[in-house]
Amino acid sequence: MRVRGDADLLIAARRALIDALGALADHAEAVVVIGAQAIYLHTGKAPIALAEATKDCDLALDTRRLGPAPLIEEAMRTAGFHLNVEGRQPGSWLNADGIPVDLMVPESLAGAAGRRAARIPPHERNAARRAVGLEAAVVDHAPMAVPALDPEDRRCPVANVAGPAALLVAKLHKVGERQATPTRLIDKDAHDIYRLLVAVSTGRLAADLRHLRASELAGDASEQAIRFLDALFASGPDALGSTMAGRAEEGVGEPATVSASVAVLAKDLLIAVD
Amino acid sequence: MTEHEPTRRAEVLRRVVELLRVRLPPEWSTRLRDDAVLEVAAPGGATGYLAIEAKRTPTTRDLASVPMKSETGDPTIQILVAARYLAPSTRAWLDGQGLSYVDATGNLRVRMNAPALYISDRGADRDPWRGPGRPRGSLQGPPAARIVRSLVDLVPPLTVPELARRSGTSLGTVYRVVEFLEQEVLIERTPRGPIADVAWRPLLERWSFDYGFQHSNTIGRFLEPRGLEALTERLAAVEGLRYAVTGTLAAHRFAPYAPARLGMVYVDDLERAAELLNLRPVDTGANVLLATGEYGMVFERCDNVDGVTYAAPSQTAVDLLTGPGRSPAEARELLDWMEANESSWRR
Repeated sequence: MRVRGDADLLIAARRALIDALGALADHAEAVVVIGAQAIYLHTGKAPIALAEATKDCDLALDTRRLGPAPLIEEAMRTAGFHLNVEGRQPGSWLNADGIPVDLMVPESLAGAAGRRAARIPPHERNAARRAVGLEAAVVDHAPMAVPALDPEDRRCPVANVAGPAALLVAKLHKVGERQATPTRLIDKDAHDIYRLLVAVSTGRLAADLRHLRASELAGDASEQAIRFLDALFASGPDALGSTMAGRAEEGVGEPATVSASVAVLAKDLLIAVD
Repeated sequence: MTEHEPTRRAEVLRRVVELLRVRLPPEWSTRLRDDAVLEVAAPGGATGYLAIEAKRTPTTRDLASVPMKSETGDPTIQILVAARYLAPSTRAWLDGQGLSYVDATGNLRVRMNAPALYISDRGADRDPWRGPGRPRGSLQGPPAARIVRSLVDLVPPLTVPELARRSGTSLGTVYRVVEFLEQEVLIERTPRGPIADVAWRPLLERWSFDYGFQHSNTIGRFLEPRGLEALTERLAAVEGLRYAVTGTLAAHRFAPYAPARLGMVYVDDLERAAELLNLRPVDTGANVLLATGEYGMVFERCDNVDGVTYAAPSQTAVDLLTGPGRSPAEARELLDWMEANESSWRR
């Protein structure tokens, strides 16, 4: 069965996320909610006619805290998930409704060099995939309540959710590494950066970024992200990232205001970090 | 950036090597070994090699012959395409192939495994040195749009006259577009014979550089105060109105990916449609966009589901590729669905 219709989509995605958190409850310390769902938890609903998230759920695994048992693949299968064989990507799980939950390990914790699969024995090779730019998420996170969105579903587990600064670092890498081919696919990531900068105080973001910059694991990635913030956003409303953030609202919002706001907030953040 | 044009191969090489050098971390070094191999050394002594394939201003077809890997199979040697200028569509193609590239205007993306290196930067989106003469082809305008839609929607083989007839376009225009698409390696034609194969997904992606729901049409912004469900109910009940629903609402039938927050509908007359659908014009806070223009093909090969008329999957995909917010990600999901279910929508 596939979930159809619209109102149900975010509800179903949240349900899948909570199911996955339940499946991995014995590894709760090692699991961090990242991606659009985490951004949604920090920023809330978008005030304009743009989807604030998709049906995708992304979880990062901190292998430093990950125990050997239960095996990830067994825990996920027991909870009703199966590997997406069509996608040819390791770590790409689907629940019975076809809602994807992706398990990812930061590249520098993903074990011996490999193309896609994270090598985290004794867990199966296809259980999780390696991904760049997630180091900040396993350093900067805090427990948050993750409520179900279905009024009938009373569950509200507490899980580690990546902090806004870590999400900012991940999104800055996504935009920065794509700047040579800035397709519209990345506009939403630039817009997510705008949403984070608006929703979270500059003081908090600056303090968290300083902490990330000083960390051994995420220091390099965070330093690079700050350089991207400077070049792509803080340099003005016409900078590539600011333009992309505005373009994401074309037709439904205020592109010029978004471009100007994100540039100003990025500049403020840079000043506050140094 | 409009420095003087590097005309000779050696000048192109010198310029691109310099562009790379200044973007490397300070401790790294480069050395051009002969005129085709760039040595890149990391601080620890690890050294990799970029075998340079130099071209002037290549089309995608010119690049199809570039080897993906070094012929020796040595993993420390990677291919680097270097050119005077690389068009956005050519860069996108190179990205898709996983090939590193650099052009003399500063567009670059270089990836090495050993030593690990990734740099990316952006130069010009238009060739600053393009001389006068016939412009490079494009897919702009209604005739090209009709041809693209037909190539995507119809199962090949298709002869050129057949394509002209089925798309309602003149033979001359079809020849011009077909020639351009062959250059871009988006279609394959048997010599003097029919179009044998269409790379329909890259074709739709390429078309989205030249066609967009908002850019290519006149747009009206409206509010349906009771939300999008009310809009679909009205569309199912309305009489005497030609329309086609596109965007998220149309994609939901096949590949629901993000919640629908915005209705996108093609109509013939904005004011009349707004009146029949009881939509209120607004400057900000719109949740419905109506589009009208010269692109009649948007109404071709529509489906009717529960009384609502939806644009064809190919049209929906291109509209999402250029839409706001998460629309381009929804397009990717829809295109995945279209790949997996080709026989159900391609006729």
